[in-house]
Amino acid sequence: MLQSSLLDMRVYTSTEKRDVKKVPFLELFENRLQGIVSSGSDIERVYVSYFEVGSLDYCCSTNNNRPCGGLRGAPCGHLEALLSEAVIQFGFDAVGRFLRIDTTQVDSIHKILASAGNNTGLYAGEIFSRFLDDLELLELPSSDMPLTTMMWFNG
Amino acid sequence: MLENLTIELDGVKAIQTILADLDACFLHGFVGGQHEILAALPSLFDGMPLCSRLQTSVQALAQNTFIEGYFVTLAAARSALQGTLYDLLRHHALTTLGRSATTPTDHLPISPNQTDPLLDSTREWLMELAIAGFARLEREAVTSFYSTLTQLRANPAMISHAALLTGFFHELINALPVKSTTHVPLLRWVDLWSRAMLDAVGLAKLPIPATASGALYPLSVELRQHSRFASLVIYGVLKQGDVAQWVRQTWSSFKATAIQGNEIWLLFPQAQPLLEHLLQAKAMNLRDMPILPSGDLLWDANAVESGKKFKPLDIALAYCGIGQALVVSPMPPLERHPIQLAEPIALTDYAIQDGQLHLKEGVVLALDAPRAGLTAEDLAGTTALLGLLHYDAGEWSIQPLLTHNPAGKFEFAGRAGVELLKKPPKTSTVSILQERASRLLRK
Repeated sequence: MLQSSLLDMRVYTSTEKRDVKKVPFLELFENRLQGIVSSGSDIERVYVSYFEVGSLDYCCSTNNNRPCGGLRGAPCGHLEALLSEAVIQFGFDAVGRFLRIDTTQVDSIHKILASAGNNTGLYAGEIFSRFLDDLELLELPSSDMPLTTMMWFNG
Repeated sequence: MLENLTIELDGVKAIQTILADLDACFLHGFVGGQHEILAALPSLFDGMPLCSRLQTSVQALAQNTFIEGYFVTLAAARSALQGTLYDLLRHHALTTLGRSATTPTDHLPISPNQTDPLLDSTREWLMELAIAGFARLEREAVTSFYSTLTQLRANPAMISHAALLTGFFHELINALPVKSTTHVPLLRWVDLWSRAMLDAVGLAKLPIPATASGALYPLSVELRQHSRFASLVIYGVLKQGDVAQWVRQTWSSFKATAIQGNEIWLLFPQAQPLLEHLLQAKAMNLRDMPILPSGDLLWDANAVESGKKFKPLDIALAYCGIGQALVVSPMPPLERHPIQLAEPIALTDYAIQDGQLHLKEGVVLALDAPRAGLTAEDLAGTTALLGLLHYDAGEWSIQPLLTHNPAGKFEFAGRAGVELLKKPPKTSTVSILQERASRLLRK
């Protein structure tokens, strides 16, 4: 069987719409589901939130490295928003697989939250820089030239 | 004529075998020598300028002497093999479609009269990947490229490099840790590696555009994307006097990862007038529009005015049908690769069965699954289509782009995106993130 030069790049598409205002950035990266969640009250403030793969340990803090006031021994509303939006973007199964959850038992967002681990208390500043890097892509110049290299990224 | 399309061609299998052997070196890397495989390469290029360079490179690599020029030579050899495949397959497709093969246009040599530090560090990174081997990639070996990559993106002259390398970089990151050799899409990664390596030799001078005047019939559109970049390619037939030519217009943009689905189209407001003509099935009259030898238009909004309404499928069948003398320019020499085969073809007398296109000649073509296009459901009950003929993994396939709906009205892939762009919502992922960018990045 000959190999293909292409990947099947079709991405999961949900019928539900992502709330990008609430969660402007999220990704399944290295060993974390991580992202940025907007503050409900202050437009200048965002929260840096993550769940770790396997343990489901979590953390949420402001981008100025202050712990989120909503963390009282359980994931806060920001973490819940991060998880819900991840499910919309990637699908429940993909998120569950990534976090190494037994989705036959833990079959809802609510149950994932209920089986969360501990607050790591470790602020992950690199998530905020990755968010800024992502935003910077929007400010780069566009092009009207043919780009044949994109033939490998048909999807 | 089409019944010959799927016959086996002389030489194709042999080249594919050579490529597979060469690619095997990239799986476990070059440490420890790949002497036997590499030793067979130079003789294939007997009498060509590449031959002596290959001999030197192969001998050095077998002794674990790693200099980036040797890897550039390997990339050149691989590109020559893929280019030969492209020529063979394209010639066959053209013969089958009853089109005359246009000879490659004047080539544009890469003229690396000055080295660029960003390209130097790109070649260095690619060499390190090859030495390690794709099955043994360490995260650090991949991520070390990130700072170069962000700088490459900031340079508009390197957008082609940046689009490819950004896609390749994140694909590799997402694949780590590589669990086993079966998880390596080897052909694809060595393809991307080779193209990136050759592109990093220097910045090619842009070919000088000619100008075109005549009626442009926009017929279809295609979105190509990876998580951080998207290209919109609009296809059409350009009539200049008696000559009908297949032409493209491309617009490209980086994107934030949260911008997905139809919202990607909102990144291309400059494409709206042309897309509106596609939607309305209205021709555009071009006057002195810049056009590259490859058939790519370089859109100039001052060089167009609105033309007459037309019937897209009628135009497609009249100019892109079997036996029609459509001019389709080949790829520039360095970009030749089977993946670049995309012969436009308008068909009637077909049936859709099990997700495949059955032609009356007995030929069965797969509907191209990895690429964006109309689906088997879209094509159910239709009697005419326009698509692109592709070749990948040893198979010919078709990417349908234009057909008609049960009411007989034309239907094209991407319509929902075009309609979204026509009436952009007040708030969208694009507008929200642009607002965020202006708030957070100016600090």
